[in-house]
Formats: sequence, structure tokens, C-alpha cells
Amino acid sequence: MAKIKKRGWILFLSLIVLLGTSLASGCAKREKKAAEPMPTAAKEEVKMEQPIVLTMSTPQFEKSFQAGFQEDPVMKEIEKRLNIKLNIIPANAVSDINAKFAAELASGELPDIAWAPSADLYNKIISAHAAVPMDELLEKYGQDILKRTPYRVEYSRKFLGKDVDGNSDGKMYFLGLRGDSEADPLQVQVGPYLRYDLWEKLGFPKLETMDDYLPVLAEMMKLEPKNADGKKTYGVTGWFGDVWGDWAINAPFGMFEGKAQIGTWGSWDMVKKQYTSSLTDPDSFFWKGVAWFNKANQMGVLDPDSFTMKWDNYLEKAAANRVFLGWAPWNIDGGNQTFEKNGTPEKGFFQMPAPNDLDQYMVSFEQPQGAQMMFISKKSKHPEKAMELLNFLISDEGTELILNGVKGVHWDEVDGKPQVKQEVLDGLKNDPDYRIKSGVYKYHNIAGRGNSVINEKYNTPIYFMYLPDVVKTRLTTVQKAGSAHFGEVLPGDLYKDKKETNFDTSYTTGMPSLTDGLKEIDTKLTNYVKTNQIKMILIKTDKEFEAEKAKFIEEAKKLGADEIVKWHQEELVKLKGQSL
Amino acid sequence: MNLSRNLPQKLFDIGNHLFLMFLVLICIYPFYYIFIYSISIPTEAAKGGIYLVPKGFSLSNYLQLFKLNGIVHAFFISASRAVLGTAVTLFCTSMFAYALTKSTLKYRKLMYRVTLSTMYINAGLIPWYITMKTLGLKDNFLLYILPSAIIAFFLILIKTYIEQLPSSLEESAMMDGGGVFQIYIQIILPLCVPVLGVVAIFSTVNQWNTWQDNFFLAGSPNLQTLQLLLLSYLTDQTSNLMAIGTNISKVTVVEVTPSSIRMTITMIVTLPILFVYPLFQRFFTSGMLLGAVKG
Repeated sequence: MAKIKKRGWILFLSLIVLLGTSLASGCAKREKKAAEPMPTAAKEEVKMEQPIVLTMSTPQFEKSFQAGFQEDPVMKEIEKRLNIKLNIIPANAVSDINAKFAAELASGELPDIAWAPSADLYNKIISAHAAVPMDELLEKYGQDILKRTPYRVEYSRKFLGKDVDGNSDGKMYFLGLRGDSEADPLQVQVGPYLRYDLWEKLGFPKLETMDDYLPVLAEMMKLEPKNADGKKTYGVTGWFGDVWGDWAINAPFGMFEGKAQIGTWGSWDMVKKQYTSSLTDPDSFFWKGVAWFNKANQMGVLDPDSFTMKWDNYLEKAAANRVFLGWAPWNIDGGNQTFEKNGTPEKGFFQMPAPNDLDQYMVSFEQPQGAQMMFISKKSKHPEKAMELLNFLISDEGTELILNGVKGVHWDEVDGKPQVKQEVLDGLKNDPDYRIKSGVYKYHNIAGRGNSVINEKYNTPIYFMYLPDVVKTRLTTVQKAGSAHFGEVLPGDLYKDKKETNFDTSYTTGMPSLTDGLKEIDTKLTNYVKTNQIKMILIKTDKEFEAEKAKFIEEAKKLGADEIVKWHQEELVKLKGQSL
Repeated sequence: MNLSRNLPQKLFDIGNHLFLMFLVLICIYPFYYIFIYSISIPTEAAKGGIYLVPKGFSLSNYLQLFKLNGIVHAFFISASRAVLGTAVTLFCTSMFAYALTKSTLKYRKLMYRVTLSTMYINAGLIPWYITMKTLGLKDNFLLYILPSAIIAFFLILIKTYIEQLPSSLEESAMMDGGGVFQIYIQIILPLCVPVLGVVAIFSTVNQWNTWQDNFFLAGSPNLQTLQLLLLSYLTDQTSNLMAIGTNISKVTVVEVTPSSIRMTITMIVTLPILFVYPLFQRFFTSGMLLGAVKG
């Protein structure tokens, strides 16, 4: 009996292994079969009828979807126009996409058109001889690229074609897609976003500087001490517990002055084109941000949970409307949605005017060189088709298709102007999967151009959601009320008088990487700043704050903050002669 | 023997029970919290205040996840790799371990040491990627099975266990005319059930939780594992919330929150393993101890 049992057990184990092996090899065969390319002879015979299959790796999209051939109307339209069937492989940011790309590069496993996920990889791609020079292909198949984006071609030849030793043959290997500017005319990307209904109740107190906001926020906390669920409210909150928790301390205060943060130690003035030290200059935007949060904390306006909260917690708190001030639409829109859902659309956040009277304000980022760098793999059997596709994506027609969908299906031309169909607007508003199903804006990160580029045919923004009539339909009750209060049509119009609003990111391209010594300084400074800036916010008195600030500046100097800035200033001078 | 207990002993017992109950509670409560969070109404749960009972009742988190494109197939892939991968690991590692215990096997010490070195030496991502690709495992289901056929840690456990079995068993089987393979299948394997049970648990949990091989080497949706699918969905949810305000997709119906989805995913991926555990549990303690004696 026992023997029979043992035999049965052994039989069962063997069966599992056998089953597993056969199932596995079955799967493997099926996979292999699907991936096998068609024999060349057969391919030539059916060339006219069968579309050419291209594989393309891409950045991640706002709404992710599974890799493979897509069946939406936009992809069908591409197939119809170019006779290309696109196997698209979107990046999946759950893990290290740079490491994955490096492994693919090393093993020679690249798609026909590949996306280089980071600037550090360009020279490795050149040294590995993995990319096809585009120059000849451009002449034959890239006329739209040459006509519409000559800057990108020159930029690529000059800055992106260097190998790991810094040598260049002056050819073009990369083409940047997307880029340009994506400034939404509705409202600025970063600004003070305030609970408008409460501000109105308080009688529109003066808000000209960020310091003016603090007492107003305190008043708001008295006016609405608890949210609809009886939870305590705060003037402002943060997500300092997250790795990028200091974004709110630095980025908005820099953008208010038309300055960008470089590393943890520098400030880049977008108008003067100058690097300065943000840590050792006591009047820098960095110190303005830290001081503002410190005052907010001293006044009890800052949520004490800010120091431990992560971004997810922040979003949930904002969605519960327990905060009155945010820094960007993506900071506070959860709150706006809750008000709408609860049937109180008159409550909500409004983008306020700039908290200063400077001529410069960073409203938009300009990337004339393109943002997503693509190259044609040397292993591609159809480099000319790949170039045709890239050319189409850069063309007005291609970008228009990717961003807005198919003409006649998703939008129409009425009186010589594009008009988005109501069903598309409704679909985008009500159906979370509308983009995936329709293809509208599904592939936004491989559109050749940025949303704000002017479409030559219609003389309008190429992204139809930026058409004046469409933008107006996107206004919420609060945005309409706020704009009317300031005598404007759109909240974004409040910034129209600023003389300088554009941050051109191509200006500093070509800056060499930090030397090893400077990298060490950078790491030390970053560690010091990340640890101590939050402690500065917790200081109880202004006097103590000033004393600690002096110590902080002294320590930053000791760690080499001025040295790293000086190096950048010198390199920038050297670079000026080479700029395009 | 006097079984009556005096007061200090009773007090100790009470204290001991209370302490152990407290330990049980702190082990179980986080899981219970995750469960009640996952069945609460997501927007209500986000407001906080969940301690002992769910806030409202909603299965929207689960429904949202079960609606995911390809989730059934992904579940099948993960389950297949867990079952098949574990079976292959048990069979191959135990056979290798048995072979290594035979003094007649040439270079057995070298083979054992080289295998053990894989526990401490890692060549890095690119060599691993290229090796797998060269072996034809890229975009191949066998990627989930073959690389884990021999695991050094399991090898130590099983080899040490086999070494402490009485050698007379094998000798008598040999005298009865049994060959090496026959002895391995009919004598050794049945005796190794406790340690194989332990290895099975470890291997199943590893296989069920792993998604990195899927991320790097299996791009085809047909080979997507449940873990990678859910992780991608979680990342998507967080970035979607950030993107809501920046574009036209002002979808006003936000039924789930990143936290509620995270809790639900935790439940979904943990439950199958919880069901597997009791099946092997009876082997667990004895297997670990027996294997560890000479380890």
C-alpha cells in the first residue's frame, strides 16, 4: 500500500515537471512564432499590400497601456497614411529604465526606433555604433524635419553626436520629439493657487507678496477651521517626508522670480543667463522659500504633518480640502474635484497673480531642441521607413493627429478652423479610458512638437484644447469668478504683462559633466541641504532663524558651494562662443 | 508529580499569555488594517480615521483591479511560474544535492563551492541580461523557470538534510539491486519531504513575488506577471492624479485613491500565498531545524 502511495507521488511529481516543460516550451514557441520576421523573399512579394512592421520604444505616457500593436483610430490612421504597422513599447517606470536600456544596448536588442531615456546614454549609444546617421535619410524622407525644426537638426549635430571620448563626426544621430513649449493658456504651471471663495469672504485682502499670504491663510483657518468631514484645516501643507519633498520650498519661489534651481546649490536666472549660489546668497529664492515656510510654521499656518507626509498623503489631504494654498494645478485639483462632486462648485482654488512685480516670471519651459530623443537602430531593416515615421510625427499633420485624433472622427474643419467634436470633449471629461480607446492624446509623448506650437495651416495652437473657444469651456465656476474679479478672460491672462516668461532650456546645453571633485562636493552639499533645510523650518523664533541661517551659509561655503557655482560660471563663459 | 501551580507561576502564565496575545495582535493588525482599508469607500478612507472597522463598504478597489486589461492572464502566468518553478526547483536542486553527497562523484566539492559562490557574487544586470538572451530565454516563459532550477541556499538545506539520513538505508536498497536514480526517487525523496516542504514555501513565495525578470526580459503582454501588472497600475494611478489638472482629461469621477489601490494590491498578492502556507506549514519548523543542524 505504502509502495503504491510512493509510486503515485513520484508519478505526480514527474507529471508536473513534464507538464511544466511542455507548457513552457509551448509558450516559448508561440512567442517565438509571433516575433519571427517574415522571410525576405515573401516580404518583397507582398511589399505593396502588407504594411511594414516597425518596432518603437517610447517614453511613458500619461495613461499607460500594454506594449504591442494598437488598434485605436489614431494608430489605424498612421497605418493608412504611411503603410507602417507600429509595434509600440512604452517605457514602464516601475523600475530603472536606464539600466534596462543599457542592457538592451549592450546586447544589441534595440527596436527600429529607440528612445534614449537619459542624456547620460547618448555618448554610449554613439560609441556602441548603435545608431544610424540620419543625414542622408533626412534629405530623402525628412523634409518636414528640415523645414519645421532646423534648430533640432543643428543642435543634434553639434551637441548630441559625441562619443564617450568627446569625439564627433558632425553627423546627426538623434532627433528630439515633443519639446517646444507646453504652456497652457488657461493657467500658469506654477503659482499661488488659493481658496478663492474664502478669499472673497474675507473681502479680498491685499496679496502682493508671499508674506501677505500668511496672515490671510491664518484668517482662512479661522473662517473654516474644519473641512466638510470635521477634520482640521491648515493654510499650507507639504510632503517633506518624500524624496522630492523640498520641491515646494525651492521650485515655486524660484519660478516666481524667473529662476531655476540647479542641483541643490545653484540658481539660474533665465533672463540674465547667470548662475548664482542659492545657498550662500542670503537673498536667494532658496532662502526666501525656507524663510516663508519657517514663518508659516511659527504662525501655525503650516500643517505639522508636512514633515512626515509623503506625496500620496499630500494628495489625499488636498483632495479632502484640508489645505488652502497650493503651488500648481496638480497640487490642488483633487480638492477642486471634491467640491464639484459635493455639489459646491462655487468653492475651489484659483491661480492668483504673481506674488511680485518683477518683469520676469517662469511661465513656460521652452525646449526648442526637443525633449524625447529618438534614434534609428543600426539593426533596423527599414531605416527609411523609420525616418518617414519620424518625419510624419514632426510634421504639423502628424503632431495634430497624435494630439487631437483623426480629422473627421474626432475633430472637423469648420470655416477654415479646427473644431473639436463635443463627443470627444465629453468622452475626455467623463471616461477615464477614453484616451486609450480613441487614441486622442494617447501617444502625446511621441508627438513631434509641443502643445503650444502654432499650426501653420490654421494659425492656431497645434493642440486644439488650447484653442481660445475650447479653453473657455474648460473654465470652472471659480475660475470664471476669479477671472471676472480681475477683469480678465482666463486666469492665465493675469501673467500676460510679464515681459519675460520663457525659460529656454537649450541655453546651457553642452555644459560638461561635473568633475569627480565637484561631484563629491555636490553629494556633500545635497546631503547637508536635504537634512538641514527642514530643520530650519522648525526653528521657533526669527532671531534664532537668522543665527542658524548664518551657520548654514558658513557650512555650505566650507563644503564648497561657491566653488561649484564658480566652475559653472566659468564653463558658461567658455560655452558662449559655441552656442547655436 | 504535583501539577498544581502556585500564584507566581499562574501570574507568569497570565503575563505570558497576554504578551503572546499582544505579539499576535501586532502581527495580525497591520494585515487586518490593510483589509478593512481595501474594502472601505476609497474617498472616505483617504480622510483617515480607520482603526477597527471599515469606513463604509465598497468593492470598487477590487472591481477596478479586476477590470484591468489582461489581469486574468497575468494571474495565470504568475500562478504557473509559482507552481512549475517550484516543482522544477525542488526536483533539480534535490537531485543535485543528492548527487553532491555521493563521494564517488568527481569534483563534487568544486561544484558545491562554485554553486555556493552564486550567493555572494553577482555579475550585475548587463551580464545577466546577455546570458539570458543568449540562452534564448528573452520573451520566453522558461525565463521564469530555468534560472531558478538550482538555488544555492536551497541546495545547502537539502544537502545537509540528506547527509544526516542513515547511510544503511541506501546500502540495503543497493543490496536489493536499486540503482542510484531509483534510490533517489524511491528512498531519498520521500524521506526529504520535510525539507522539501520548507523549500517549496520559500520558492513559491519567491516565484509569486518576483517581477524584475519580467520587467527586464519579457516585454510581451502574453508573459506579463500579475505583480508587474499591478505595480504598473499603481504607478499609473499616482501619475494620473498628478496629471488630472494639467490637461483636458478632467475626469471628475475618481473612484479610487493611490492608497486604497495599494492596500487592495497588497491583499490580492498576499492572499494566494496565505492559502499555500498552511499546506506546507507542518513541514516548516521541523524542516528548517533539521536542515540547519549541520548547515
